[in-house]
Amino acid sequence: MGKASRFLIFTLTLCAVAIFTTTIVGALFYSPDTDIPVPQDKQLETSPLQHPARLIIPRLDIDTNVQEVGINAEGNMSVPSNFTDVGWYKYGVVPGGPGSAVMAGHVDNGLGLSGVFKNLGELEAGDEIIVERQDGKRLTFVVTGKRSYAYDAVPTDIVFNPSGSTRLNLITCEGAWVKSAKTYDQRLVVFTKLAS
Amino acid sequence: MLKKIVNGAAAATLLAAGFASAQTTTATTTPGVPNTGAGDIVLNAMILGVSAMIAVGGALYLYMHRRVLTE
Repeated sequence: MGKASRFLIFTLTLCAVAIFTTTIVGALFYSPDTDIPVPQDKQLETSPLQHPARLIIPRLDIDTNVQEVGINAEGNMSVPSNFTDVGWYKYGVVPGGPGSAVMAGHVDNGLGLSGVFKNLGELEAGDEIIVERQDGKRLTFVVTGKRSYAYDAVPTDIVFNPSGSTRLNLITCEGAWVKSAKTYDQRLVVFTKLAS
Repeated sequence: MLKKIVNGAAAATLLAAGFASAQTTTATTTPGVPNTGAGDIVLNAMILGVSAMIAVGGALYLYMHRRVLTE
């Protein structure tokens, strides 16, 4: 085999290593969404100290970091950049404010291992959800119900309701993978209301 | 890439419309639901398997022929 062939095999090997590394990092550790920019004057005028820092769900043994997420190029709420944090929709309601704040978390990672909200469906009415804000203040929410929707039939006006009672809604995926749409066919929404 | 740009422009237009009609509320716009599934597990596993086989095979070949390469 000539020098050119050996160089080709060397290049092919390097490419394979690069593809393997990129895929495994994206599948297991880091998979950022593509946020679109939003004008500064259209963003919420709230103190960053009121923003959520951690989400704690004692029943599911979850105590995790909260990322602030926006809107992606498809017009959907973005997702956290890893599989262990949750994302708070920063252009919506602040937890503790009037209306429904929304947080989302992955159900699994790119190889099917558990994401932060893998067991979200185990929550029952009455379970506590605690949000720790940047200023250290803790807000306790109580689960009032949960419901599954087809991924293209979620009542977003209810889930992201900007007015009304103080709520926190948690979202994750469930169901079967739809290859053509590149998403799971259902969304699980856990509805909670502020207790204290 | 073009599709991404077009999608981005469409989303920005929708976003602007949402802002215009939601100025009296605390929320600026209502997005679609997030895609909280991480991706196609089967496809990822296949890519990992094939790329690993090529990488290992290529590395082994180069290792076995290292003497030839240095001569």
